[in-house]
Amino acid sequence: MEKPDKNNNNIVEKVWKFFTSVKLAAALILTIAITSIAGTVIEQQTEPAKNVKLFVKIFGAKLAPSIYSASDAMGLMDMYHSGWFTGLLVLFCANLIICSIDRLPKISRLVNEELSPMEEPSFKKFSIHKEYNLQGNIKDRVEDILKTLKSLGFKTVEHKSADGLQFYGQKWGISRYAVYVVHLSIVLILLGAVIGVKFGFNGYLSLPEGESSDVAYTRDGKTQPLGFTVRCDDFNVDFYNDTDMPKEYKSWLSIHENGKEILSQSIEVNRPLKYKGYAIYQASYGPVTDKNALIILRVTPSGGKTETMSMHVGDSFKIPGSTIEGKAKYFSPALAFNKETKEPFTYSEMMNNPAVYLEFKKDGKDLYEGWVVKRYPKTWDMPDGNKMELVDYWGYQYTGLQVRNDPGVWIVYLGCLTMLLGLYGAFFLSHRKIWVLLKGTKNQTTVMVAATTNKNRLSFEGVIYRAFEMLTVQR
Amino acid sequence: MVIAFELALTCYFISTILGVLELVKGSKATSRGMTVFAILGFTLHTLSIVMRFIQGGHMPVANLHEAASLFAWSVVIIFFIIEIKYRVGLLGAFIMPMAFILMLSSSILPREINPLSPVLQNYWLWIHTLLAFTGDAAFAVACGTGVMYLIQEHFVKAKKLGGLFHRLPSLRVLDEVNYRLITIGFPLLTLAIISGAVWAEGVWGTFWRWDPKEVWSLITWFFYALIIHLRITAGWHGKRSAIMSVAGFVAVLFTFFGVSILLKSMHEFK
Repeated sequence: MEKPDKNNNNIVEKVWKFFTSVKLAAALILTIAITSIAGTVIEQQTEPAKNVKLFVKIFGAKLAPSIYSASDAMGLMDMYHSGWFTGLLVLFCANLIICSIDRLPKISRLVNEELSPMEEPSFKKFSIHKEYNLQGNIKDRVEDILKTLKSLGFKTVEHKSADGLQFYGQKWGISRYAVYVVHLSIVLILLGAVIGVKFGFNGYLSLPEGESSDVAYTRDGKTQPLGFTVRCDDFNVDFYNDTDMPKEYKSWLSIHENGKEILSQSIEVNRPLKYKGYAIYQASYGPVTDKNALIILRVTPSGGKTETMSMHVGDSFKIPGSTIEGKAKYFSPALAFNKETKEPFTYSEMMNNPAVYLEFKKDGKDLYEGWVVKRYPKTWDMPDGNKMELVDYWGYQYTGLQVRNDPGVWIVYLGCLTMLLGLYGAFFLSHRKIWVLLKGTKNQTTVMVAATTNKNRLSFEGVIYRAFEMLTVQR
Repeated sequence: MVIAFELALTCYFISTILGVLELVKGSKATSRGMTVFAILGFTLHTLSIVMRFIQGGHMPVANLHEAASLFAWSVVIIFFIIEIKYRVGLLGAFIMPMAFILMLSSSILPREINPLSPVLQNYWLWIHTLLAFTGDAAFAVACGTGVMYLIQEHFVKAKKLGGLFHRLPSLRVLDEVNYRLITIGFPLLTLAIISGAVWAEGVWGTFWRWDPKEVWSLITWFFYALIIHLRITAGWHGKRSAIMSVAGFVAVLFTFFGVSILLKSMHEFK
């Protein structure tokens, strides 16, 4: 940091100092962490009744109302979007940035510092140091030693002095910057998030089968024009075996512009549709209260060709190639039978087990009747070999779509990537320095090794000792 | 499948007993026995997880039973790695009880295999969980070395330089291994959070929703970031760092079990 002029910049200096202090960083981290807990206990962005109940449980009926209104005033019901929490994050960012800028010049000096040869006594002052006696004189062994240094990843400088022959070098000094890369990445992630909140859109859209919309809605009821029309062509849920546990749900959507269909695509929970910066996600589904839906039947007369037919409840139809008349009498979205009385009943509004009750007549005489259940193919076969497959009750369900446009997401991802690179450098690379001094007699070479590292000393020590140990074993 | 799990649990139990015996009265025999049973238990445990994977057709993390079991498995594997790399004497005596307790809690939880909801049917499931579990396991082992540090420090302070003092690693080694584990766990936790965010973005269209599980992961992340910063800039080595790593693991445990059991989270085992 440049030294600000003492008289003029006293306040600037004080503010700067305040933001560079580790105490502030620690205090901010702790405050953010501890206040965050409140938002995990109080349900966020939900109807007040739920949290009032929670408060009564914790504080008792007497205290609850006043504590609730106080917490509400503090924004605790939506605390992560409240002014003070945002303020904490902004302070945190300022702290990160200023801390980093303040320390950079010193770090850059450490990275760019040239190594110099050492006097013999200095070798013993290092926490990593050892002496090895090798067979053979220096001339014979210098190659091996250089090889060892190279295998350790060091480019070394040679130095001759009265003490002997010396090699020294350093590597990965640049990893000292890694921690500031991590700091930068946090700022990037928060920046991306802010851009997403400020300029993005997050809304929802419920579309009954067969309907379309050119707007989506925000949580607080605002309308957002999309600039195109989305239509829900169909929606379907599949279940695991004979349970009510959904296995997969799918919407078939189409995009229209100026009355023309631009694209048509099915979406699933993990697979959104993307168009013009918007991403449309499968979020939920449910029944529509208006029940003017269409029963879709796939009819296969015995020995005949399959035909798909659609009808409302109460409508009649003819089995192709015969005089048999069918009628869709009832529909149940979730058919079940009472265990004792065997009476049919509907156990859910959701299409968990859709079934249609068909009645067949020939020349005015009753033939057969019964339930055709979509999930049970056994029920599709009629006594006389005709087959009735229930395909859908089209128009009964709506698909719940989440509509998002987040221009900041790529900055967030860039931030994440930067963070990973930074963390790798910060925790797995370290600034390592090594000095090796060779002294020899006729058939022996004494090698003194000294080394330092700014991180992970134990593992560096192990690597060095093992490498030089090898040299003593050879020959 | 059940037998492999039960046998693994038994092996971990025997290993724990031998580990405790080793603490009280160190001998080569108990030490070797502990290692043998830990390896045997781990092999059986791996087998039971693989079999459950095949049977369920998905990564076995779909309920608390499976999650606790995988957590125990991750703790043991991290223990092995540290043991091979650093040879910290007596570490097993502190880690195997932890693995055993996790395994025991897994054994009493309901074991039925649940089908996966559409949200979880995704390759992110195993990426995200493996990262999170190994990260948490590194913090677990860090907590173990933290406890060892505190015990050893007590001996040094009290000048009781008896048998256990000589068998426990030196304070310096314990401190370094403790910090090393934190610096392994921290990037893994970061990766787990990021992979979770990318996954959520694909499923819900939002990479961050301030869900209790997300917030608690972030709290844990902040806490370990604090440990690292205090160590580097304020010199919180040794005892303070050891205490912090124990406290950090409490946060990990709450994020892991507490949020799932006590708080309402979208991050469900379903």
